[in-house]
Amino acid sequence: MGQSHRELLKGSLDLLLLALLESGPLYGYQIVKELRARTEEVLQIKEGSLYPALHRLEAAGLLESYWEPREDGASRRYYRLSATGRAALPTRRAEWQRFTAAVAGVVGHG
Amino acid sequence: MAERGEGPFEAYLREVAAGLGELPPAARKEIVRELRAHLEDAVAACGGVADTVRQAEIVGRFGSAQRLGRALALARRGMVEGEAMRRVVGGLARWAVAGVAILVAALFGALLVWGVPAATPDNLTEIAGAYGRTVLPASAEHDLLIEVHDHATIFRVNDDRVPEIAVAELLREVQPGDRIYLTVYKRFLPADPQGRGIVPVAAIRTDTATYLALPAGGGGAAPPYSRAIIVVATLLAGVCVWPEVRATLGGRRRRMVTAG
Repeated sequence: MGQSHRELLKGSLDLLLLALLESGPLYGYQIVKELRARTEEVLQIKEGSLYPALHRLEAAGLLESYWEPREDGASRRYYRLSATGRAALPTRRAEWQRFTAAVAGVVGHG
Repeated sequence: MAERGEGPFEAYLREVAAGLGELPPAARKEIVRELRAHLEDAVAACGGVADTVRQAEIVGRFGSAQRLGRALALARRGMVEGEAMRRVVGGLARWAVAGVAILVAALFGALLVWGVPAATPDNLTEIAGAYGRTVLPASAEHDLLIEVHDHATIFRVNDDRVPEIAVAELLREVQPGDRIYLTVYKRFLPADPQGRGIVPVAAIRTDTATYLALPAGGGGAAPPYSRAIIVVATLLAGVCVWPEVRATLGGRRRRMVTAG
């Protein structure tokens, strides 16, 4: 992933995480894989950025987490949208779409 | 840097934990547990085996351990502070509810013990009227015995007396200003095999005001909700205070273990 992609990802990480978790609870490793798969490897989140973002969103009340045992007896921490997060997502999505449309309006007419 | 005999995973997790700073031990433990689960998933994804080089590659994707620790500490701090605030507010609310419940229980307890109304010409007339109207349930096995007492003298009315006579006796015995109770007993005729001659009917002991609120003939009714309220309020206070007590005891035990 190029440097410019990394910068773009940094600015949109919260929205990406909220959008990924809209379809159901995921744990950290799954989020990394899911993001890669859905963006055809264009966006690759670093674990060092993922976990602080997840914890920040949880602290903000947008996500909730819970532990669920794995088959081997250890546990994974799953994240899911809280009611607040679910309510906030449409607004954030609309803001993002307005923003990208505005950027495209400028960049697209070079 | 890895310590002697320590693999890249353990070294990385130790460094992250060191960067978590002032977070409470439980929060630090959870973070390390979460990261360890991620590392294990990464190993499972590459066939379940990862040598030292592979482990180093995996932790390399996490970036600097100190930076990750600091970032996580920063992200969690708000939550920890929020949790602490919620704990304080929750504790205060629980103590407040427990306090009110204890107050209610004490109030009803005091009413039950001392809240005996004083006899006045008016309420004595009412009591007499209630007696006159009351048809006490009786059977072949038992009859009912009514006591009016002021804790010093007891005036008894048996249901085998003519109500008018009982009323006259009552008015003669109980003077205005007396603190009075009414109690209804179930009396077995003859005495039951255990030798109990008189058995209180449940929840009949009551003050005159409550007694007068009973329907005529309601000698067997059980009006004093005071006892139920006292029980419920006491239980509520216990339920509210128990988590605080448990937390305090737990904290003391932990301190003792640490000191030991």
